[in-house]
Amino acid sequence: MKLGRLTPLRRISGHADEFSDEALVGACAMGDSAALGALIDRFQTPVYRFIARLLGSDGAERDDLVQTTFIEVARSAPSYRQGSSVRVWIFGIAANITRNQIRGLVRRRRMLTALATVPEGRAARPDDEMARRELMERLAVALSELAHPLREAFVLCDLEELSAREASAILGVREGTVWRRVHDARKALRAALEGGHR
Amino acid sequence: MNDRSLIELARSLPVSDPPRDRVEEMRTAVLASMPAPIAPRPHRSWVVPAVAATAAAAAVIIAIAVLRVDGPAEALRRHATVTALGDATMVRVGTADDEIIRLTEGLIHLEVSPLAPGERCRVLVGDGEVEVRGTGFEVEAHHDRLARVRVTHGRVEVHAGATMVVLFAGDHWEPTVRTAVTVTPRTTDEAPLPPGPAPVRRHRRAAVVSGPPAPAPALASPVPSAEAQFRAAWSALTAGDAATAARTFEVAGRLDPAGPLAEDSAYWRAIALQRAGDHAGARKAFEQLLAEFPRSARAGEASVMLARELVAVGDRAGAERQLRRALTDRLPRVRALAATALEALAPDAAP
Repeated sequence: MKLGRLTPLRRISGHADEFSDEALVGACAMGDSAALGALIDRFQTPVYRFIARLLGSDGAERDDLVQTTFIEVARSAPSYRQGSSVRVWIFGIAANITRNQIRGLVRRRRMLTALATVPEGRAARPDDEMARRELMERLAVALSELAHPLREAFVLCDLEELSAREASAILGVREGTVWRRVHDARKALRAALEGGHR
Repeated sequence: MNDRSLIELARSLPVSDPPRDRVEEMRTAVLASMPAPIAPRPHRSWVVPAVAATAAAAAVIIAIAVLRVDGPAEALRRHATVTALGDATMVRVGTADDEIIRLTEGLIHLEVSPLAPGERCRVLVGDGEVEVRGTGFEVEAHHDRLARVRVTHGRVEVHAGATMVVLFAGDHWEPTVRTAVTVTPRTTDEAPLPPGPAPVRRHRRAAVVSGPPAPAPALASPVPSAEAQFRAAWSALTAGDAATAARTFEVAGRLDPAGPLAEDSAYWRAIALQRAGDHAGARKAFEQLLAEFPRSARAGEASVMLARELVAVGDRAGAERQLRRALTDRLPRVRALAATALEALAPDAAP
């Protein structure tokens, strides 16, 4: 079947903000595909980036997880409870789906493979720039090697800047547990980075 | 390495966005996997050109949808019963607090049950909005432009561009010739002007109407006295007699303090006091409005107006509190005004 282009839902005066996130989820719960399309338009970039950070990669695997996330958003829309932010709710779905996926070692192997294929600089670089690149590569590896619960907490709180309360709602643990995981993640990452200088 | 440096370094790790065509493929695949919407019950079926959101989703024009009057989401607690008079094209979205019918083409009739404070029910068209307050009315749109609004009972507000008109039972509105419309200007460095009274008046005789014109309000069927007082107050405000309007809005609010007009009476009384130059009275009226109707759809606007009054008497801290409250308003223009005003209030802001 030939696929054509979907026309996005028109909005008043061209301002997408006329429809709140909650209004779109409410419509999605009724099977409104226009509302689901609008939710995808609004949240696809942050979800792509969030899953990439959790996975440590941004390839086809990420695309599959993003697609699965929004399919689950549509399915779960009737059970969305107002009072929690839609962004946090969607991130929670993405985190659950990614957690199930991450149990395999394939992700880590792809990450290391991707790092191994990073091209050399085309021109001579100053020493500090080279050092920074190496530091970032070590950080990326260290992040990928973190235990997933620690990486989840670090990505949610430190990279995605969610509050501990929001992260605890997503992860299903107490706020104190979230902070402990963030602390342990930071400690492990620092140790990995500083260990590389020896 | 301290925590801040570590976090900044981690945030700078590259994360690439997928190519646009991959995003479109993902979007299409997700929409195509969506189950077909539940068909409406026969006794309330819509006359709508509908396309199911299935594998044929690529052919769906998103602005057309099957309406579900009594769908599975009973938790949405609909206030509006909508009937299409002929073919109509619309989408129904919203939450329990903010019910929205998005109309692009055709004529629909709505019966809306009385709303609780803070609840809204609106019909949105490409260039306008009709907001209801427990009423029966018709809305007609052509090519996503508001063409006509007729009120059978109750009261509606019609927002068309930068103007707003209040219609009562028997009133009929059509857009005037565009060159004749006078738009109330708004600037970003002053508090927002309320969306009314509008230079475009409601029409007793439409440009194209078959049949006799609607009767004047005085000859209409008896209306509750709170509504009669509200009408009188509105007329006074429209005529520029803000002091009379303020007194009469107060009476309207007292006559039915728990009724559908109470919140609007309180809001417009505060506006009228402000326009009459009674700034102390306006301040108290806005504070009272926000205290009695904290979830009002106008809370953000009221907060910004109150902030203006507080700045005038030197209460910057109070003004800042009100503006921060308005930062979370559902209307983008209110949020933008609050943000601009907060910047102006900042200690190091240029005078």
